[in-house]
Amino acid sequence: MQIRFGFFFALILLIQTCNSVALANEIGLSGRIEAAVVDRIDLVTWQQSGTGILRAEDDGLALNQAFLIYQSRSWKGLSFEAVANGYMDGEQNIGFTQALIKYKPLSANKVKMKGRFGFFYPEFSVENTASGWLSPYLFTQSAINSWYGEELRTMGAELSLYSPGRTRRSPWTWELIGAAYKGNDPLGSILTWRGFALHDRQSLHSDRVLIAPTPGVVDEGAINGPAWIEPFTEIDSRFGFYVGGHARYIRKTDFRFYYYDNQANPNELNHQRLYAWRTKFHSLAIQHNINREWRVFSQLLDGSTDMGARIVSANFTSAYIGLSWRPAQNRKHRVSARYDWFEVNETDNERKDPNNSNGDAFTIAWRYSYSKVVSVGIEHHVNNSDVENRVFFDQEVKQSQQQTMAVVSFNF
Amino acid sequence: MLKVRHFVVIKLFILICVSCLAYANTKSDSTDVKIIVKNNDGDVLENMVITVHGNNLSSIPPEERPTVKQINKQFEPHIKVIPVDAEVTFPNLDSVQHHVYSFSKAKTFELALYDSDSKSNVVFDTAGVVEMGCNVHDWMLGYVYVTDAPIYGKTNSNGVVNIALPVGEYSIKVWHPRLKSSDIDKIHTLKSSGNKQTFTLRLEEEMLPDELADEDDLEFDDY
Repeated sequence: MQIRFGFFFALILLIQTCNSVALANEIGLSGRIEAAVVDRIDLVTWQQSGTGILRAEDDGLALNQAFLIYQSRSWKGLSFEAVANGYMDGEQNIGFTQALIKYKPLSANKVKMKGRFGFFYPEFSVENTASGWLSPYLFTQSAINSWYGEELRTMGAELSLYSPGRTRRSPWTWELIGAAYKGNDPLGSILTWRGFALHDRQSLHSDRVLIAPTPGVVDEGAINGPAWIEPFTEIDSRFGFYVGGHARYIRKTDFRFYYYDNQANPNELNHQRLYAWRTKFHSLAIQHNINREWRVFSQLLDGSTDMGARIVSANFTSAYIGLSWRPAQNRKHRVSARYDWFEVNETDNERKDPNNSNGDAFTIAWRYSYSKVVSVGIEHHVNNSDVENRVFFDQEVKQSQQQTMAVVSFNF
Repeated sequence: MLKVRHFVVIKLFILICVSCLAYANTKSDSTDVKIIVKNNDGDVLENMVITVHGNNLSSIPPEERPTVKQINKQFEPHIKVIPVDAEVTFPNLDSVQHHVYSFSKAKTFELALYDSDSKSNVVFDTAGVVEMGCNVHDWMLGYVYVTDAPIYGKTNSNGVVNIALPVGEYSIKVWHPRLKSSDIDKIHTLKSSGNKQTFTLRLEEEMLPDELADEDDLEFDDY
């Protein structure tokens, strides 16, 4: 209890400090600290080797986010950006979620070029548009983007050709994207063995993500692998790729389509017995501003993954639709809601390692920006999930989880 | 000595009289003209640039410190009208970096404005339209209209520009980024009668759709 009081006292001091200093500029250092009081229905989180699909480990105070962003000045179109995160949960507590060089030369051409190099997120999401790859809508992210956050990152180069509509006096802005990368070979393993989850815990650059130790994964007579994944591991030395296209109608409607293939050799494994998973998927995202107050945003994911010579293989599909309202009279308030649906369908015949899972979730939140520094919010989340391999832990396959969070955050 | 003094007093008197007459004459020549710009449906149009050309027109006094701000990731004002050789200040009032540029024939320039303490000046020495963008925020769009006309202005929210004109015949031109070329090229003739008058300038063609040039402040950020 004393620790909690101390934590609150520290937060109040921080509010005072943050209010008394000017906001940091985009150039240089900026950051966010986000704390929450969480009330949830117990089911041990995957981060503690459980089968729950929510992040929080306990009721009570939790540090949701703490990160620093460094953004360099632009020189000849080149700039550097890095996001360093600190977490109290998970296996690695401090590290980078992004570190990249951006290249965007000034050009008079109607079709321009830009690039990104390093360790970064592809722009699949229309949800994670706030700094630090967070969502401005809900604290608990969609099943799709939760998965991207924990298993997917580009460690390589991305090049884009783009044409802002205003240079052609057209309402349409378009962009074509292509990327080559390495270090994403285990992609699909967490998704298959645990199923989709909903959270805002992003994996750090050399993170390790725990999963429930199902016999089909850890037993010597089975796969004999670890009950954890290091998502950004290079196993087969092959390059993966993705290609995509964005089309934006003025600043009203945004479409994004990508095809992703990590080109992994599913027969390769490393000394830790981490396999390369051949994972391919289509990603479609749409965002539409209905008017100045209402926005609808949605994503669809459909793909497959394969490990070993069809030792484990599965198809996965997920979709969400979200609605956000920001009143014109007071832009400091935002109310958002999202419905998620997700499914992993096993396509191998290995019955010792059952991996079918599916579920849905509903999340609603109110957020209020008290100032540029301090914002608060309340979120309620409920999900239902069927995860076949829960039987190994004497649990019902079908579980329902609920979570309510009161959140305060400081941007500096 | 006395004669000399009388002579100076008389000269001073004549000078004052001539000045008063000249002033009275000027006053009587210049009359207030209210120019209203309307579209072909009869709606008044805001932010339309008006330039007035004619013989023997005196130039209006230029703005002391013309400024185009970057605020809320937009150019403010969206359209700035200045005379040739005016020096415009570009302050960044946002807490984010802007990289303002133009590739227009009338002026090519590039300004790296890193934070809210940054500002830079640019001299616009050629008449024409200067379209500006920001290399960080692709949607940002602003215009500097550089004119060699002695009298110019921009319509207010009622679609009105008030100017003073001596008696005579003048050419009026109108400009806006969303006007079609036939309306931009058209020369309107205004006859100033010496009495207060209202001159309505009506566009012939529909303007280009709003979304082609002006965008509101809806957030639509990338990451």
